[in-house]
Amino acid sequence: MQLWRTADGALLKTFPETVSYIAFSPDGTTLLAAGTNIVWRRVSDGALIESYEDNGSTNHYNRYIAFTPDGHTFLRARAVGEIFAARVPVALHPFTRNGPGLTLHWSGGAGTYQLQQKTNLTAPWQDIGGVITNLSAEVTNQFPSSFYRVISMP
Amino acid sequence: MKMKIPFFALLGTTLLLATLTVKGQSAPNIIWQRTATNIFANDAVAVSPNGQSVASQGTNGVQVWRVSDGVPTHALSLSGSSWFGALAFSPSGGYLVGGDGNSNISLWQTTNWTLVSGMVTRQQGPPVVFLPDSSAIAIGSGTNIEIRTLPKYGLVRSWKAANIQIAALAISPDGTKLASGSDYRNLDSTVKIWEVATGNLLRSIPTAQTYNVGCIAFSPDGTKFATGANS
Repeated sequence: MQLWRTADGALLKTFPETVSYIAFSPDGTTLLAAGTNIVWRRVSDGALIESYEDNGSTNHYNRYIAFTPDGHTFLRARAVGEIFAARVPVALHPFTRNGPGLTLHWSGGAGTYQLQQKTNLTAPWQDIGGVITNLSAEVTNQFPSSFYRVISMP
Repeated sequence: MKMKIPFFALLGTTLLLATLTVKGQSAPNIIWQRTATNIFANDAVAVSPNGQSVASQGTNGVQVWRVSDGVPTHALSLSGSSWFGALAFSPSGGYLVGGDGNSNISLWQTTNWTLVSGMVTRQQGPPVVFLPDSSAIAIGSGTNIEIRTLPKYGLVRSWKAANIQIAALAISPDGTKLASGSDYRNLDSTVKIWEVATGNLLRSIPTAQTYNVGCIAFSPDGTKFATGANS
């Protein structure tokens, strides 16, 4: 799979996966490719977000994929009439500085999310605020270290 | 199996996007799963613009499902049914079009899911995309890309785009450009960018694919496109 710039045809990235179908998420931030694996990549830098085996060792048949317009769900269809709907995984995107704090950004379409934090890796995750529908959140930078994650809520 | 848990890590003033890999099951978070039961090795899929319906290969034609819970809502039967190389909803939501293994294009209206019209192309599983205003489709028909108006397939433009057949088609979101990939038997691994208004070749780009470009997608803002193949 390869990613190109439309304006001049310049090659932006080459990825190792062989695929039978490709779709961009409606917000344009992630790329979903279906082959023997269902592979998610972040468009901005090509980073791997997630890879699911899709039964798996053979490319005998083609897979097709599509997003719902709200970016919440993706559909995968393949041979012998097998179709599923699945939740689009949360993808983190580079965060931006916001004065003394930071703005965290993620994607995953219309849905509800819980931001969590811990100050060292062995501590339990703690909720920050309640469940939100935003795809970004402002946090204050806490020394010496701080970890954040975003969970997609059912 | 391993599961990757992505998280933001802020270490002093160093900002990291990190991924912690732990043991676990990495599988899609399935909402529903169905089997329409057929013998075909292809199964196109398309979601309606209102997000409520998804169309895929049925047992004998196209099966429409409700996106929210996978309830089968409409079976669109075709005589001499075959696999689909392409399914697409019009951006207006009024039409569903399919290109099948019998080289037929079929057009349904989504108000009552009835078959409006059909036409025969010059290739199996013809790729089909809608122009943004939903008034016409671009199809792969053998060696040519054709622009045809709906619902009667009036020919607007036809131009040679491949030596044998068109393996993949994508249209830019603004409707000005088409990208095509050609058949593997031709061993043509270029992706070709065409001007919709004239059929002029704007660019022919060699890709890393071994045989051909089998799938193409434009980003929603049209500034990028992705290409790939099964081999």
